[in-house]
Amino acid sequence: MNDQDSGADRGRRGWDRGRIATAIGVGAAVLLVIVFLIVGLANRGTGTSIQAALDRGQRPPAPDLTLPVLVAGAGLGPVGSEASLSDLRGKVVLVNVWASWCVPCEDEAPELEKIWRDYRNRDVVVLGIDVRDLTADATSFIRRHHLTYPSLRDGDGNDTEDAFQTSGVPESFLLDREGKIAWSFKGPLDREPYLTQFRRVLDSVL
Amino acid sequence: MRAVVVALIVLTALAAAPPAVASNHFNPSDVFRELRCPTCATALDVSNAPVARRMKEFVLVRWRQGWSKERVIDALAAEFGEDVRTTPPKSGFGLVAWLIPATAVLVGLAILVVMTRRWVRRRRAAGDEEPAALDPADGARLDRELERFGDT
Repeated sequence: MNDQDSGADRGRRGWDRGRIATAIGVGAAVLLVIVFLIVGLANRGTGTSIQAALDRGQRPPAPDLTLPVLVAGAGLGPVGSEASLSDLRGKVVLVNVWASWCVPCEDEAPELEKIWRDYRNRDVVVLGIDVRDLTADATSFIRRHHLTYPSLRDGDGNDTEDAFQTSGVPESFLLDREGKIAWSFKGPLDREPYLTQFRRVLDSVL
Repeated sequence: MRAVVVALIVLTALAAAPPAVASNHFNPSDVFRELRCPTCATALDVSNAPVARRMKEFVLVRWRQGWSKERVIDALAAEFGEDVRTTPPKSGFGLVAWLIPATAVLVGLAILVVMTRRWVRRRRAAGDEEPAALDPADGARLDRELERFGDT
């Protein structure tokens, strides 16, 4: 009888251990799902720290983005090789994020080419970053608008979006000689008063 | 003479006909469902974003040129990155995305089988156990109750 009792006790204890293990397993799974949800929500959307710093009158450091060269120039190249923003350190750089399917990008392209031609002898580089685009469409856009400034290519656009916290195209960023962001602009840089505003900031960093 | 004219007509018609489509050729709609728009992340067949329209044109042009479905999808993945596929590739690291759910289902089924067998065994063991001895006072009370039940 005692043997039976002790066997039953062992059985009950085993069942308890099993239940505890199951509870721990289910708890761990639920915790994992919660962690995934939190991480997913935290990484959703783009940050705003660059714009917030600019609004405070600060110059946040520009990210060091490395991408393949679409159009060589200003010491970047050859086409297909990798180039980094840090390769242009010491120069003032107007980074312009664009795509061939973007109509406002068509509108601002002649202005960007004009800025490049006006200022390239003063160590200013206009650097295009073509995002989420077909290579053939991008090169056709460049030919159509007779663009001569260098461009990089970011096929999925994620690196540029993460680095510059962009939310669309076109967007432009003016980097000073130390590689810090002095100014940013969402939308086409093709009309007043934005062009005057840009030239004023450009003159201040030259 | 008549035969020559007919032959010429047939030959002209054959020359004007569009190139034959290979028997293994794909349906462009299938490719539209297997690719997503890089700007709005929805499948190409439901996206009307400018880049999605360009991608659809790209697919149709390659389809007319006789490219295989895999070649078209690979070309667009090379342009826009692997995230452009709505389903991960069934090779390399992409295989993990297919194996994990399948493994999870198998593990779940295995756990279910083990738990069910354990539960059934425990129920059987409980059924085999002798009932606990009745307290003498309870036994006497039960007898009285049964007696009274029998009288009615």
